[in-house]
Amino acid sequence: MVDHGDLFWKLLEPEYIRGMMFCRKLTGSRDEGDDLYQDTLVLAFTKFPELKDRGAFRAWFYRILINKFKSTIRRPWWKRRLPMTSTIEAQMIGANPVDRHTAKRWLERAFRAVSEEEKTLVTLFEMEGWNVRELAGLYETSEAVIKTRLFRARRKMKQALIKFSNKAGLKKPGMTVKKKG
Amino acid sequence: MQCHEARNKLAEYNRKGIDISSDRELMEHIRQCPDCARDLVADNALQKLFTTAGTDDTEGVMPMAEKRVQVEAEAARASGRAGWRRFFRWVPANILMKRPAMSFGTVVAVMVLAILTFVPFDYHHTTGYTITMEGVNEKLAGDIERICDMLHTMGLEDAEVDILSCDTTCYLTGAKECDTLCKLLFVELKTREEAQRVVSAFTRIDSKDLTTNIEPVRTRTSGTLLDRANKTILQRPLDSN
Repeated sequence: MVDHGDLFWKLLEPEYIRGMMFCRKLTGSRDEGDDLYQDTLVLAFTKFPELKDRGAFRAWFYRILINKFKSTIRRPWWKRRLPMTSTIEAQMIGANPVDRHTAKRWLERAFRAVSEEEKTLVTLFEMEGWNVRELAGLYETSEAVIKTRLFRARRKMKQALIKFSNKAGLKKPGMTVKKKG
Repeated sequence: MQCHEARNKLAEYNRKGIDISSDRELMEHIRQCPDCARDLVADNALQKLFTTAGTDDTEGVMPMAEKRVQVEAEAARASGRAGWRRFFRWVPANILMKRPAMSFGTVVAVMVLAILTFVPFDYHHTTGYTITMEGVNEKLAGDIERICDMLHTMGLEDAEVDILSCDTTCYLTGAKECDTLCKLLFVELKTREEAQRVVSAFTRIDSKDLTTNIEPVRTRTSGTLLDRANKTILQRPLDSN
């Protein structure tokens, strides 16, 4: 018979790396992401015996992760984190967005326009490759609701990017009309 | 084509990954509408940001086996702390909510006890006893050495004795034989029992006109109930002696 501990790690195995990557993207920092992941794992490991439907492990685990993230950002030390200064922001404009670091900064700026809930949703969809059905399962809602939330979040982020570019009076490299294909 | 239609189409094409250049009508609208063109630019830029920033940062990934040891150790520590947390959650849920009257009584009792224990108040404290003895024969009252020996025999070396006054009784009663009777004061007697023993001793020697009065010496003290209890406990061995 497999005990709770072994079963937990066995079920986690396919999601182990993906979960960590998600945390890093969500927090925008490797260290903070790893801390968030550690806290999530401890909590999930402790609560695992309460999980009745082992088939729903993935959604259950990500729900814990998202809740942990939300509680972390409500902590005073997180709120005390300084946002980007105008000098850093000015340096961002015109920098090559192909560089991952700069892209992260731009994205961080765009994410400020959305709620933490929307940020989580967009990160899972756009950067972690979750589809609408999986997200609907995670949030226990309909696919239509997820689509609407994604559309709204994306629109807010786009407006934030346009506003930011206009404010700087510059055009971000790559922000040209381009045919898809 | 209206702007809202164009944007809905853009969003849809983006979601489905369809090439927008295949939609001539849409392309025409974008060429003529700067707002929709800006929207498309922002959309492309955002997509590029997601792609670039979305690449995995796999540096410093801890192997799962190592992570398992770390997590299980921390979970064990956390469950120890959770035991206390569970207790503090259990108390209000099971006692305070189910038995409100008992809980209220307990809280009041605890508060009263806390006040009595920690809040100082004034109280009278018995520090000793004095005996006023009237009608002691002058010969006996004047023989201080005898009185001291008597006190010493009773183990009361600390007790002090003083002659307050001596009166000749024949002036008052008109008797032929005149007696001079004195008033003695004994102080520094720690317990009532000691005082009783002194009175008994004097009564055995001369009980003719003896009048005694034992009075406690009370001092006003400030302190908590705890201080008072301490003093009482410390005094008990003295009393028993």
